[in-house]
Amino acid sequence: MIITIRDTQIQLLAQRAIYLEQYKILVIADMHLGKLLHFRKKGLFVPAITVNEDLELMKKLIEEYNPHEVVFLGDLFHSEQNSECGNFLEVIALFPQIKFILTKGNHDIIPTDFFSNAQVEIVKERVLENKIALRHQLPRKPEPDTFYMIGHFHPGYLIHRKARQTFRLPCFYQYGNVLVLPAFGKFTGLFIPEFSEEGTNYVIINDEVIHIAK
Amino acid sequence: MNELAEHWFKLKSWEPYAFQKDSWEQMAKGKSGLLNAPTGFGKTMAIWFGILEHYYLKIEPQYTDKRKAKKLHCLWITPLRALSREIHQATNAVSDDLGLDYNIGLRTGDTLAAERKKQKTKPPSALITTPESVHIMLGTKGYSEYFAGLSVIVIDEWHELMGSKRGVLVELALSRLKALNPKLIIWGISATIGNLKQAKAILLGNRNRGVLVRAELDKKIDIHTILPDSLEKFPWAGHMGLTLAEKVLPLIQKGSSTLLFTNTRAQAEIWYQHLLDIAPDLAGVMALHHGSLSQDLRNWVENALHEGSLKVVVCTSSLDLGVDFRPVDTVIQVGSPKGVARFLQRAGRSGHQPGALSTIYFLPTHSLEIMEGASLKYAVAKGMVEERIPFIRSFDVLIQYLITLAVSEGFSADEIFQEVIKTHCYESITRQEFDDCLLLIYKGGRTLDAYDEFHKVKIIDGLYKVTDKKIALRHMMSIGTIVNDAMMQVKYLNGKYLGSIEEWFISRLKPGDTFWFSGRSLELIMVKYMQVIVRSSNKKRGKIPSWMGGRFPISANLGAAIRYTFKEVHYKAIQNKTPEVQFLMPLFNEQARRSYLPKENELLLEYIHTKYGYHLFIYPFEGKLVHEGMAAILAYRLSKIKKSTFSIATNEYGIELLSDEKIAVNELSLEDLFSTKELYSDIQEGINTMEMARRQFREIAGISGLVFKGFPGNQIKAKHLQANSGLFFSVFEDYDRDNLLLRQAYDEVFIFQLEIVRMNAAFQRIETHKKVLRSLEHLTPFSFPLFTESFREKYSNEDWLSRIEKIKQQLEEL
Repeated sequence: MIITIRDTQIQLLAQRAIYLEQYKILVIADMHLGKLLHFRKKGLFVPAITVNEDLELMKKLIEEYNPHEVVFLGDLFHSEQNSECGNFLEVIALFPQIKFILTKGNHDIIPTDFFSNAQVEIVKERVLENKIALRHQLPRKPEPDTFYMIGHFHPGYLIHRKARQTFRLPCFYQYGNVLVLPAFGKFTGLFIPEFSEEGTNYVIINDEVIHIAK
Repeated sequence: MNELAEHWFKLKSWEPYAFQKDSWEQMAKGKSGLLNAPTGFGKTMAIWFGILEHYYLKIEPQYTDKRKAKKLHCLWITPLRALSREIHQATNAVSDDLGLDYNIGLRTGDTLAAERKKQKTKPPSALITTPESVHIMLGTKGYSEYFAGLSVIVIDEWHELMGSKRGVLVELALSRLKALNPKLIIWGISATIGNLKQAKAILLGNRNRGVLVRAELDKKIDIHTILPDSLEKFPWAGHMGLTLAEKVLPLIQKGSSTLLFTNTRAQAEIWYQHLLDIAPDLAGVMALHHGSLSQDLRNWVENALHEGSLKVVVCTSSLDLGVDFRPVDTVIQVGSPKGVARFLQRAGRSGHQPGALSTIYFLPTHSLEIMEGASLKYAVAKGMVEERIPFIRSFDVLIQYLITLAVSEGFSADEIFQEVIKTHCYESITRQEFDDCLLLIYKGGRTLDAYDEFHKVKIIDGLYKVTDKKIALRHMMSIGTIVNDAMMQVKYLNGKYLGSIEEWFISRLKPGDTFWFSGRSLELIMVKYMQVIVRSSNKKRGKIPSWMGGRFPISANLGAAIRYTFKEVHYKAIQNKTPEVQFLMPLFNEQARRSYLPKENELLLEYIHTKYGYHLFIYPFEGKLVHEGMAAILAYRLSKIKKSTFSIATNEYGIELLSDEKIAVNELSLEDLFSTKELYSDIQEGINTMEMARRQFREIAGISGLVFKGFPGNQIKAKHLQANSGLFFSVFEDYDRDNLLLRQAYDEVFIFQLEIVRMNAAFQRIETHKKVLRSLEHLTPFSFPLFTESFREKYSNEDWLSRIEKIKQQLEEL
């Protein structure tokens, strides 16, 4: 599904990412890489998973859209450095022509050296034309004339259907000058905002993104 | 005769009961056993003097060297802190009365660190404590030395512990303590339950030939149902019962002290507020008591009850157990008590003197529930007391226990395996399963990755040990089997603590909003960390928090009693019917007029179309738990005919299947629908147990230490370690299907949620019944309560993708 904001076409992908054709930018929020490994390291016995499906999916998206730039909207890594970091480096090394940018999130505590060595640029926000800013969270005092695309919340949508059934699905969520991306990582939870009735929800249903008007 | 007891009873000018003498005699012989006695008749003393005698005859003479430190002689385990305090006071009084040097310590979650330290360096003769505290002691270095002199262990209110995972904690603690002290004398104290013999066997072990001592005390119970003035104005559905509140006032006035029991904490808050509204003069002589209120407040209420300065206390199961309040002479039960045993226990809160009459009033909350009054009388008269079903194969508790031992002194796998398979809970586990548990805590499960970073338990000199201090601390903070949602502390600005509320309730409030809690109207000032700061408000209206949990289903016994009551509706002459049934006859006649009134060998089904969809109502009268499983099976069988999705509501009396498409039912297909043929395979294949297991997994993840809620007050951050159990469940489902804890979730679903045994019996019963199907235009007295039930389950045999596809179509049609 494509929405247009300030003359910018925003492709909402069912793979829980955004593609900006004009800039050839792929935007991915809240991957939380290494989350399960971090748990294991701290003594929580989740199964050891050898294949990282998030990285595999990211690779596929890059191959499909062939972007010039990939922007991670923060919380790329869940916590401290672990072997998932190596897997991440291996994947981005496959694409030397692409510029990788991280707008730092509250979970990103890995030392900046790691990223500079990996040629990942760290910024507070990535600003596009027409005052569209990509960042992890809203700034403390948002600029009234800026449009923000952010992550952090892991938004979900609760669908009430006939026969009193409910479903929880990930969604893109827009309210006013803010568009919140769903979390890209497989091992992240969903947060259903109380206020989701007020904004606009673009809900991911299987392989499609659907606009739900209230 | 026990000399100390003889002396003390003479001092008090009391006469011991036969069961007390019997217990002393058995204990003097060094026997273990189970004492079956109700509260309030000296059960504590029946055991306590046995303990004292054992000490002064067998142990004390060995302490010839006065400088040698004495060892802990007795552990007394109770399920409740309030009860621990009570026993602590009563037993201390005995030592004081008789001038004994037998000193008694109290150790619960409330005990201060300094006091705990003192208890460790200089052990008291006896320690009154809880199952969780015993495990914390087992998680402390030097425990084997500390317990080396332990001679007697008492498990108080064993019937209460046995049916929960706290009972498993007791079994495990016993297995370790018995290994340390092979001659350990074990005594359980239990109220009457259906499976008393099993209760004894679990506690003492199959090989221990302990005795069963029964207090044959005749207790008379008088049951009254509070009837509304007219049936027409009484609601068909609902569960608050406030319409009858006016009827309660004269009872409160008449009695000296009244306990008014509700089934949930929210209901207690609402009743308290409502009684104040309709009888403002109760202010000052009415109090509220439930599990979320602060300990201080509860203590205050309990003391006031003792002194007789309160006319009425609105309470929940928090006052079911333990402590006796002599001034209480009236008990009111609001809504179905759900079980015969619970009803008896509550009735027993009044009339404590032997031979005195216990009076209990049953206050129904909707019209059909009135019938339960008659059923309860029948069940009580027939002694239909429920069994407590013990947990088996609880790998979550086993894993917690193993880590506890690894934190303190370390353990040898072979030794502990031999100990745990002697318990009832783990007698059927294999060495392979035990080794799988070890593998989880040692390597984080079966893993192929050599560079794995898992660290929890290490093997040092053949012993499994935890060496990481943070892991040890995190574990000690989360010992126990009661898994709660994150609770927020409610405090006044000056710091006075009122109690705790679940986080999600507070998240719905804004500063300035008013809510009712602990019987007061409070204004939210701010939320800071895990604290909710409030001030008193004089606003009359406010939101009332509802707490999760606490919705237990009706028992099999009460279900049977209710079905028995139905016979009366059809067959007895009107003058021979119980007052409840007589009163309800107009409702039954209305049901017959609108639809049909089933006989006891018939099953009624009602098929009704409303704006919500197509409803199929079924009335087996088997209790909510069985209905839930049965509903899922019926939904499966219906959807085998035609793929569909149902929303399911159940209550104690029946089932509602709601679909957005027509439901394929006719009189012919009904026989197959309720057939016992292929019942088991239909359960296996048909029920989408995954969602049920996902919910069940929440507790398992908490107990086994997967979900860590953080430290109290969040002073130390559990950085990046928080995740909900649903995430872990999905990961296990996707990557480790054979995981023991995952399998346990499914097993618990089968045993406790689906109640396989009871459900099978229900299908067998119904198979022989004549099915009566009515297609109707309007709701009926039977269907209305189900229709309004807001808690709903979902059943579908359409796979997730096609369900979502269907939603997509529906959305696109908008």
